[in-house]
Amino acid sequence: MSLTSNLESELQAQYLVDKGVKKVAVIAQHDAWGRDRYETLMPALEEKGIEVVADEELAMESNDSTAQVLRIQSAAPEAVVMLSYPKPASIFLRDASRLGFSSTFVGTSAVADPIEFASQVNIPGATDNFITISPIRYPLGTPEAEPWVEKLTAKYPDDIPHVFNLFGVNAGELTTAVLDAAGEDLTREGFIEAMQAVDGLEVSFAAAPLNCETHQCLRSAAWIQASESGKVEVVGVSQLD
Amino acid sequence: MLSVLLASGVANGLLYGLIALGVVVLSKAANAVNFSQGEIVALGGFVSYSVIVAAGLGPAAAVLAVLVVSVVVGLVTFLLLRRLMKTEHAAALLIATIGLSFLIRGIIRLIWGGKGDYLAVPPLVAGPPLIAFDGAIIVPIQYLFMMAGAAIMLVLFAIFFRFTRLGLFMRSVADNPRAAEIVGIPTQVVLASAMVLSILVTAIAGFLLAPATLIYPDMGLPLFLKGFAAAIIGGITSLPGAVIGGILLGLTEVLVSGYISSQAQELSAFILIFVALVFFPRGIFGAGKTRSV
Repeated sequence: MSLTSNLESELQAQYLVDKGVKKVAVIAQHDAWGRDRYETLMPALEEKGIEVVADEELAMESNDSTAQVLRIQSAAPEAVVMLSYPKPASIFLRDASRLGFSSTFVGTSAVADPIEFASQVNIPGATDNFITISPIRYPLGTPEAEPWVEKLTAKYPDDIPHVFNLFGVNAGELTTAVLDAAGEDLTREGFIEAMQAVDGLEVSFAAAPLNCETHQCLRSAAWIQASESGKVEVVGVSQLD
Repeated sequence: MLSVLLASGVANGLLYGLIALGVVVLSKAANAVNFSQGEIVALGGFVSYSVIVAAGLGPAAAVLAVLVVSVVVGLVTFLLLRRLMKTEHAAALLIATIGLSFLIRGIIRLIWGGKGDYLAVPPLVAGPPLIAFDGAIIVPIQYLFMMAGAAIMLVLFAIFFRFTRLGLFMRSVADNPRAAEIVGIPTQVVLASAMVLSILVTAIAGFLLAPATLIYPDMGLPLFLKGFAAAIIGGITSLPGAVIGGILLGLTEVLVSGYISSQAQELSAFILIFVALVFFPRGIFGAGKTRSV
């Protein structure tokens, strides 16, 4: 169970609203993946009354983002939303650090592991203000994730557990709950009906209970950051109405 | 803002210039283009990563390692391609170097693959930007390092071509290979040297670039295209032209991105190439076509 682009964009806008941010900069890669995010984020920001003071592009193959950093810096945003894969995001944060630009940097679920991302950026302090969105509230290394990691490694001993492995737990728990509710006389219609009736279902990793009133049962996300001790910590939760 | 953009443009431009220099050296000596040069940039970056990050040694050791690897790769490349380094085999040589680019990329994946999508070399010099004239000029220290490194390479190249025996041989072969052979210049040695030099200068560009960006096996092609474009803009046979072409390209990218739109950054480089070739079909410093009658 992951975040779709429109859900992720709405949650990003919601987080900014929750933090009282009024002016943001957006830096995006304008390939198919980036445009998908960009085209849902801009209306979401507008709807929340957040002004976009800088709107910049950083292509996947770029090796330098000096100009983008300077343009964003001169626009003085309160936060920077980075709609990019880890590589351009790393280059942007390396250049931002080099040029002494600091802000709150908000990532996407494409940057799923802030520890790994910090090692890619590889400049001390450059990711201190970087947070990223996650569909799960307990990252790898937490006691809550440990039983699932043990199950995974018992079944697949050669695999290295990744945060993406935990994304499926919510969906699995939702499915079993719906199957239970649908009963033994299982039909397609019965399953759909039971699914639509899900409201306030607590699952292991979702940031808030699931509600399947719309086709998107997951309506929340956690905000995660690399802590000083080198672990992933949850620094906030966003939830849509 | 302008000073930082100019510093960034010149620093990146000099790196494009080094790649272009590699193109020009080979083009002058062997009338050939090595399409695996982009992968050589990547190789230079990965060797630097191994020495600086994995082995924990300093930049000097990284330069030494890059030089050694460059000489070995240059000689192997020459031995592989020497039979094709003749005018009549130009197309075959082109295809062979494209194949070589995939081979080098594959070797990079074999050696450095599986350590993450991208690898980062930490900045070789840390510290606050250089600030002068009450903040009117601000230059990040990393750009100064890149510029200094590229400038040293350019000076060494100029000295080599002007004052060394091998450099003079290479110029002679470039001017008239047949005449050079007749007067006893060892053309095979000259061609091997050109290949090694071309790869060496390109790999050094990779060493200088690595701390400023991220390294990954597929990073070479876009860099080669820009280096090749710089060589075309400057004039494919002009050594100073390669450097100036690179700087022009670097400045165009960053100034367009800084003052017009970051969405035009990638496009601007190719508009510059188009415009330059319309007004200077042989490049800015390219020799005019002459014919004796």
